[in-house]
Amino acid sequence: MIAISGTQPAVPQRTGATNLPAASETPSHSNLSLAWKIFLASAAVIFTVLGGTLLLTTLSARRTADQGVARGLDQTRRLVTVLLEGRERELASGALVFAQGPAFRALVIDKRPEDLLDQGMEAVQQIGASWVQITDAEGVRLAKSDEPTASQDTLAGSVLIGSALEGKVAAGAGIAGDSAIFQAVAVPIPGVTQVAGVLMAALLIDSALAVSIKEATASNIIFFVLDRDGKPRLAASTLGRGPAIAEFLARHEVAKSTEPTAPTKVLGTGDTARSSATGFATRSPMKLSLGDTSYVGNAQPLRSAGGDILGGVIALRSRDLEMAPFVEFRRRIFIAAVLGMALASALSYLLAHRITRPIITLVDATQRVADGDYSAEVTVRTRDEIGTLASAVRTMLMALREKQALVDFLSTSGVATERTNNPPTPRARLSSATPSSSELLPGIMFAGRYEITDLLGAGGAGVVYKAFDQELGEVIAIKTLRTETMSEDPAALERLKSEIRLARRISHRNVVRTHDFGEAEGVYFLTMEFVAGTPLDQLIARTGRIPVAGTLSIATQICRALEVAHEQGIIHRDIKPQNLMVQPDGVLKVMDFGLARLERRTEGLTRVGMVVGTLAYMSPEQLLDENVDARADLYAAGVVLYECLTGRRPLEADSPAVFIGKLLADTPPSPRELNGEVPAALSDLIMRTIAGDRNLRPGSAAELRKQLTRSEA
Amino acid sequence: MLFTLTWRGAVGTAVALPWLFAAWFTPSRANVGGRITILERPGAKTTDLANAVVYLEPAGLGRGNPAPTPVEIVMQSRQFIPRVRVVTAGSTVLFPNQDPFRHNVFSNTGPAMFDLGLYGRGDSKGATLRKAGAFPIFCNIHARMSAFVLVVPTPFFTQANADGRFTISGVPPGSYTLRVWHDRGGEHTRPLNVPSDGVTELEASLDARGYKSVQHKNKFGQPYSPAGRDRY
Ligand SMILES: Nc1ncnc2c1ncn2[C@@H]1O[C@H](COP(=O)(O)OP(=O)(O)OP(=O)(O)O)[C@@H](O)[C@H]1O
Ligand SMILES: [Cu+2]
Ligand SMILES: [Mg+2]
Repeated sequence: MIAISGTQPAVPQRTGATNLPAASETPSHSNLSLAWKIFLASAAVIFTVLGGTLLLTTLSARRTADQGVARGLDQTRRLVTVLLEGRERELASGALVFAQGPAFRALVIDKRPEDLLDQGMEAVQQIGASWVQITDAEGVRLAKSDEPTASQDTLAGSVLIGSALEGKVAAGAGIAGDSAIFQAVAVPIPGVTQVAGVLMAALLIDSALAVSIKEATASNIIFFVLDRDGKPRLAASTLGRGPAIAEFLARHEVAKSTEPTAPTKVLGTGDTARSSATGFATRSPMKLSLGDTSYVGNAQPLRSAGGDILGGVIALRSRDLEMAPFVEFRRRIFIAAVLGMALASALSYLLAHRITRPIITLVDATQRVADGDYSAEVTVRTRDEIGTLASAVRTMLMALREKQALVDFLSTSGVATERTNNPPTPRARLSSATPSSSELLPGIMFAGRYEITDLLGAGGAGVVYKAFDQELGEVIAIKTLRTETMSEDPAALERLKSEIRLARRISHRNVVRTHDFGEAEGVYFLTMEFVAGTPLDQLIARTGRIPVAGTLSIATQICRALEVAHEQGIIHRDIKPQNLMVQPDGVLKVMDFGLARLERRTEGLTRVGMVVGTLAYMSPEQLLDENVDARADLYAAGVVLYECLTGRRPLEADSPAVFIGKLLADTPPSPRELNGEVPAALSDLIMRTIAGDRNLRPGSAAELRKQLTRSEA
Repeated sequence: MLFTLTWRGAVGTAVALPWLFAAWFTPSRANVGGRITILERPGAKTTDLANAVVYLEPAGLGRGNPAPTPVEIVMQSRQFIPRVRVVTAGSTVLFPNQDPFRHNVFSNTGPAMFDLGLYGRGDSKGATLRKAGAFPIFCNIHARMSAFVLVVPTPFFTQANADGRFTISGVPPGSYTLRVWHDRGGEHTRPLNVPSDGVTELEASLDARGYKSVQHKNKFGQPYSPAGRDRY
């Protein structure tokens, strides 16, 4: 697995470090790679969406199923009502027809039990009843088809028979034995002048009926009777006769009818009893579990002709069954989801890899940089942000490689060590420098806070010392300024001050930081950052020339410094090797921003101490005292680079006059002509940068830097 | 088994008497035998071949009325048993009631109109049928009870076996009309010349494919149930 190293600084920010300490350590929050994170995130999204969808559909399917159960139970209730009424009507019309038979009527009048038993059996066949019984005009039983030996009881007391004796057709439920329930009708048998008797026909409510209701409604059906204690007992069922059913019935003890006796149900006289039958209620929604199917049910009463509840019918439906098609649907969705998820996972994995592969390359490259290895090749060339990042990393690698080359060069040439170990003796240096009005010696305290520790050098503007700032406890450099100019021209001092104010604003690693400007003991001085490095002129002088890679690093760093300065409107005007310090770590620092104005304006070309060595870096326009812009600094930088690569300046002359002449007449040889190692593009670029016509030079330091990068690519 | 014996006795009597009479009358007698088949609707099987009656009518004028053949049709379990009887004209058919309840035997067909009234178990009443013809017999109490008495003007008759085979013996050689009757298959008639050595392999086929059972009316000419109803 590739560790994420985004928290590491990709570019070392510490100026004094060639190797980043402990940078190879991987401080990671988790051990997951970016590819895995992207993949897991998209997988999580897919999971959430699909899971949510399944959950929602399951919930709504469950609700739909519950509604389906309720609807189904309602439909079943209605169908049961219609079916039972239909059977009743059928039975009644059959009995009526049979009772009209003249031979039958004659036999009833004869009251011979054996004939009537025979007629009863005939009637059973003809009507399709389970059994029939026949009474005489007083309601005394004459025959019962299924019981040849039935006694001659008086049945007139029953509402059913009683109504028929009064000439009406009556119907209602009845119980036979202790667990059989039937539908019964009683019809009058017409005699000569009045009712000759009653034909009662019964039709058992049996499992076959339950099964046919189930076939029509898909509801399971239980018919039950109420025993004398009002306890329900199973009569017929589509769910068998297991103990679970009995237990279920016992649990749902049906509330006995407490309403006043309903009006006798008489067929054909309006169905008043039926509507009151809906008062039949159970304590709670009925629930039955059989095996692993659970049912919900409702009950509906079966009443006698007198309106008593004798039993009922319970319709049961299973939500599981209602859900079955959905469960199948969900199973398919689930399979599709799993497949989709696998596909999406694979896709997101590939995608994650596509996204992260270049990042991994970059991470690898930066990690190697962190380990001090700048040789990584960044091959990513996409057009998105990662491409931009990659090219930035590429540029950074290039800069690092060049700087490394410079560092290597410095260490192999031995310049760095010499400089730090053997500073020039102040005497020796001073003697060769222009004498100045004031001289500070090591060991003295200057301006009340600066302890002079060393003489660093002397130049056109003044003398530079190394000092210890006791106020801040810091090593600094102090540059004393020649006072003659200032005393002669007070405006020059003001100009200088404003220039320094501007220069102080520049804070950049490639610019020597200016601290302060002051006057003490009649000496104007400037404090600045102390740079432990070698001036570029000494570097060139000692080594002859600087390798291309090192020069490029120098060029890049000069450009960077000029970029920030130009951005603030500050033009250096005095870029030259003496003002470019190279630290042993390869960092170049540009010095003396703002100081160029100090003398030249007044003294021009004839100024004392102005030598060809200084003139050589001045652009023609600067020499001609025209308005100088950023491109003058570029010109100077070009000359510096030329010198770095070739070890000489473009134009060599013994005196300023000769130099000026050459400048106007000659075209210098290209760096490549003098040094075959210089790439053509770089050589051309330098030649363009030192063009006399500033319009031919790169437009800005940034532009020069860009072209430098391109020239080496 | 009582009724079976009675029935066999009746058959025996029916066959033996004309034979004895004819044997005494003419010197040469022949047998006429064969087999009856009934065409049924596809899928249906014939189970009532014994209801087929075969008889020979002599060509030209007959030799006078044959002797009467007394027979019984028993009423048992709301059925006439057997369902078909063949008798010579002038014979009396007895209808003993062996059910524990009353029956009322009647015939409403023109020349054979009779009504024996209600009578119970053990009682037997008879009806004499004088004219030739096929007469349906019913019970006024039980709509599904029906029987046929076939009255023939000839002593040469028989009823087929359960497999449709029949033999009429003691037939004098000569010209006849062969008639085959079945309650569902209708009638088949053909001229038949009986040689002195008889005919053995007669084939007669009746067609029951167009037969439709129709509920008869009761003895008052009314339906048994006052309203015809459609049941299922
Ligand atoms: N901040 C500093 N830290 C360390 N050494 C310095 C610093 N500033 C100057 N020096 C040293 O002092 C020398 C003298 O610098 P100075 O700027 O006075 O002269 P110059 O650069 O040769 O000419 P010019 O006067 O045109 O700038 C430099 O060459 C350098 O070696
Ligand atoms: Cu009868
Ligand atoms: Mg300087």
